[in-house]
Amino acid sequence: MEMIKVCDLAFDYIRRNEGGNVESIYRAINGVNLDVKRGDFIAIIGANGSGKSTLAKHINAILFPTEGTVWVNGLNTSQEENLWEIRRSAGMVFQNPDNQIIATVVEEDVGFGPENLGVPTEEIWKRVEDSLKAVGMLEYRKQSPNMLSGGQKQRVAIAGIMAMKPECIVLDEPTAMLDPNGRKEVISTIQWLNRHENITVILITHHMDEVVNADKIFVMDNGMIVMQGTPKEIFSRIPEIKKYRLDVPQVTELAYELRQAGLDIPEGILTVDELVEALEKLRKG
Amino acid sequence: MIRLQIVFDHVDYIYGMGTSFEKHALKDISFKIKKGEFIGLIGHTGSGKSTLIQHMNGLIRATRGKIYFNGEDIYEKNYDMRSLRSKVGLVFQYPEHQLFETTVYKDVNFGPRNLGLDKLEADIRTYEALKMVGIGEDLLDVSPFELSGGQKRRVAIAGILAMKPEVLILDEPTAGLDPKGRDDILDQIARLHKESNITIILVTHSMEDVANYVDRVLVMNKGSLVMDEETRKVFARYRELEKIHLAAPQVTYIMNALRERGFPVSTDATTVEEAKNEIIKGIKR
Repeated sequence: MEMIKVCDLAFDYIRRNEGGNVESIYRAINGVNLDVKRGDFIAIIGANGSGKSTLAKHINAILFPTEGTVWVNGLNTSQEENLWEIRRSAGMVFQNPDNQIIATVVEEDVGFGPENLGVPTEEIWKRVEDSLKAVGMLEYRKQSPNMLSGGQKQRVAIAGIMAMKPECIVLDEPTAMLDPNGRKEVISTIQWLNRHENITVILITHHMDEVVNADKIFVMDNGMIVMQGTPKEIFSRIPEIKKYRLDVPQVTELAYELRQAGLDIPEGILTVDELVEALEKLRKG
Repeated sequence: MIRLQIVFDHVDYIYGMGTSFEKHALKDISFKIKKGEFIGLIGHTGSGKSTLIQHMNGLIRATRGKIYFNGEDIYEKNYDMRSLRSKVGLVFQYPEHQLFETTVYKDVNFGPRNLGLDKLEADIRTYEALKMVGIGEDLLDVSPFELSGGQKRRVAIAGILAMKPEVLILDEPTAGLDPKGRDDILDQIARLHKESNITIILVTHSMEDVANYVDRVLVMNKGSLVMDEETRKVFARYRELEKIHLAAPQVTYIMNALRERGFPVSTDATTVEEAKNEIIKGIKR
């Protein structure tokens, strides 16, 4: 069974006037099909307004399909009796850390989720400890969240999700407001959770260097999925990527430019090491 | 003659002096900025960047030290702070949150009207500013809230430009935008800088953007100014940057890795274009 299965999904934002009559309809998602296997690290990239966030909100059952179906962990999100279970098993992390933290002490913030689920107190404290350990924030448990850096706040937000024992985490531009170090912290934390806790990850981002380790990338444009494949496959198609208002990591761009200039370098280079190796081979060859 | 526009002379700023929240946010900051420079300001979250830029247009008053604008001490008794604020335009993070009027035109027109300009002059400036940021006439009567993220942000920047500032300070103008939107805004700013000789101060977490656009970089760490140099010289000190939670562009790492493996390349390159030329030259040697 897939962790997430999206079938012919369409979603309309409907605007009504004061009288309650429909004023305009905007189709934000238009026929999306998507399968995510358990334990996968999936990235969704696409221009502003391409439908990424709208899609993500379907996985957490914040929005419901206008047409089509979304299954999370085998549960149909359109059935109301499934809501609690879906929201527990697919946690969501948003862009602005300050909008997600509610308590005045880190450990209370992390404990809020399980407490809400009715988990016994003993068990809550154990989960708080385990979750803070998993994101590397245990030593800050007694601190006030407003003394933390942006990256640390996002890790606390992720711990809050982990404490609900989810199978899957959806992150909607979690690093957009962070400095380079904060970005690194958050990305390595979610990679660790994916590898060691087998959490399925769905990462939405505008930073191309954050998705080079993903198992699969989906590119969205105009409410549709227009490209999908491994990072290597996707980033080999530079002109196409740019057409969708996106970019490639600097190293990939440089490798592409060198290829264009006639150097014999393989396609789809994603890391500094790969490029250095290719150039070394070329020089010795 | 190139004149000094902004001078910080041993500026200190302490938040909440005498309370238990006392924080030394700026420590003995001195630097000079000449008219027409394109400056990058970098530093991790909480390093004092925002506090620093708010001193430049008088929103925060230094605890100690002096600040000069166009040769005048802004803390002199009869100094016209109001005029300073129109000459030093500050675009905050997520400036689109400050849009409030019913049409794009009215929103941009608000600033110059508020300066007390007559209708004709305010209208001319509104048109000019919208043109500078690449917002077409077809959007003048549209509600700013119906625009895309990148368009909204450009309208917000136009609102500042309509006041004809001599200095434009942008606090993370590209956060949350897709790669194309990011390049569009920065290209517009670069063009504006070239055409009108306005001084630009760009606060950013993107080292790639610094490398591509900026002439000189100020680096903040824990309230102190730790580097003030030409862009390439700053990135040459990438090991030091890492120690203060920053980084260099990916290209810097590629060039240094190649150099370590004995490639005859200069490690100076910071953009893809420079790196490409340097590698092609090096590989032929």
